[in-house]
Amino acid sequence: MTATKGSSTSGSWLLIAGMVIPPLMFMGSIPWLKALPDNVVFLVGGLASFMVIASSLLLAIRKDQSADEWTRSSARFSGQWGFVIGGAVLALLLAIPPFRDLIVSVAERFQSGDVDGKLVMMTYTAGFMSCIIAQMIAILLIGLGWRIWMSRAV
Amino acid sequence: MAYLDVACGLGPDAMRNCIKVLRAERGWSQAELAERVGVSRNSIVSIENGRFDPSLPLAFEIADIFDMRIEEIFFRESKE
Repeated sequence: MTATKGSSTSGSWLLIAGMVIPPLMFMGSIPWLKALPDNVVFLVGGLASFMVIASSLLLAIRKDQSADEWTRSSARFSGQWGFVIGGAVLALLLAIPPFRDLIVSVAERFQSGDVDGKLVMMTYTAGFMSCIIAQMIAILLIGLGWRIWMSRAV
Repeated sequence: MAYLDVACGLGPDAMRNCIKVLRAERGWSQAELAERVGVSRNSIVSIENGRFDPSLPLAFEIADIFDMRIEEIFFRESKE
């Protein structure tokens, strides 16, 4: 029992590492990535994103399997409101000049010389909006699937 | 705040229960009852104080642990 619990805990930490390390490595390797072709940079960025998404999905499944209904209720409540509030906060932050400057300065690390700040902000905002829209579509589709599944004849 | 209470399962028709009394009669701690039922101690704390309504399977499980019927443990508080 203890050994099972221990391996379960270490497995969780491994998945958490899979969520944290790839983006840190990607950010840390920006000076090296700048010298590489764009396609390679996109490939490395895509792989890092895939590792984060896969780790977080597996962690979510593991946690859900071991959670009792109180924990699931807590996750539902925090997830339902956390996504909305988090999105709203980021939308507000995008209106604050120091935050916009920070985004542009991060983009400047990828490219030597001046970058078009307006283009960076538009790209960032479009990416953010795409993410929100993708989440809304996923929520609608999963909600529809849940209703069909729960309403099916026995 | 009324909405938050409803969202947290403490609406005007919130259920009440006598788990705390039953648990005390048997000399069980919240953690001990949680282990017997197979849930977290937080679940027992929230159910006892009426902040969280258990599902029917969990309510049956709790009733089985106390060797009682569900309606002897859980009841709806009168609106008056």
